[in-house]
Amino acid sequence: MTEGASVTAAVDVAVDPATAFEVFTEEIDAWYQRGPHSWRFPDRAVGIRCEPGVGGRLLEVHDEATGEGFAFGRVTVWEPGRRLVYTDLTSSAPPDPVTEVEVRFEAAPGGTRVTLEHRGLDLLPPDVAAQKRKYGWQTMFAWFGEYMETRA
Amino acid sequence: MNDLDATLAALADPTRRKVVDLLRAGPRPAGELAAEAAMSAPAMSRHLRVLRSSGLVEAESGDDDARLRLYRLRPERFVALQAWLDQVQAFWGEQLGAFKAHAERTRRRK
Repeated sequence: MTEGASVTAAVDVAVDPATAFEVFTEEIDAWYQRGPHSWRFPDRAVGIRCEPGVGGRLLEVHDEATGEGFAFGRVTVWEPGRRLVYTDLTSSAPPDPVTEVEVRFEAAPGGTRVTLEHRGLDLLPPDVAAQKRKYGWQTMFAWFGEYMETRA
Repeated sequence: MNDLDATLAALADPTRRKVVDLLRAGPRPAGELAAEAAMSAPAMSRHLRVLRSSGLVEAESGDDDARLRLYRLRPERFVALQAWLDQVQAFWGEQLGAFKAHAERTRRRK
């Protein structure tokens, strides 16, 4: 149970799954909250972008003119209206074990349940685990969450 | 490294996570931990040293014979880690809340 553990967060949103997926990906720059833990390079970040399709990059935009910047993720599953998965490139790069984020869009009464799951944080190498906490939401240590639940 | 860094570094090793898993059932001597993890006593001793210096595990005092000394979990460091985890989850909740607000606002405009 220590391998592939995850932490989840969820929200119900009053739009259909196709719209929710579209807003989550295409309009990420419009809703993503700017804060001290939002960025890998806080001094340079001017926005965030999700490129569509498998192989697309999740970019922390540093250059407004070109739209280029630091790629913190790469899309591995792209199912509009259903599911988005990306590997978190801030921890390591393939073929090394990578952590990944899955976002599921499921029809629910009144709209869509959006569930976000961050997996594999137990695979982080020590130096990265120590550094990860500097950048907030990409830093969930899932295995420990399960530990706390099972010992309660 | 601060305390939380040390905790994360200690837990980022699969053998040490296994040790913590084993100790959840109760205190154990190093020899049993080594046998369960299928490793030599010196190797286990090195892992226990990291776990002790990170504050996750302590050796029960009272027995002078190292072979019989029991190791057990210390809850304090885990509580600190949980507090951090809660902060991280709060951050995710905030991002998803912002996503929801934006999605519902833009949809009404359509």
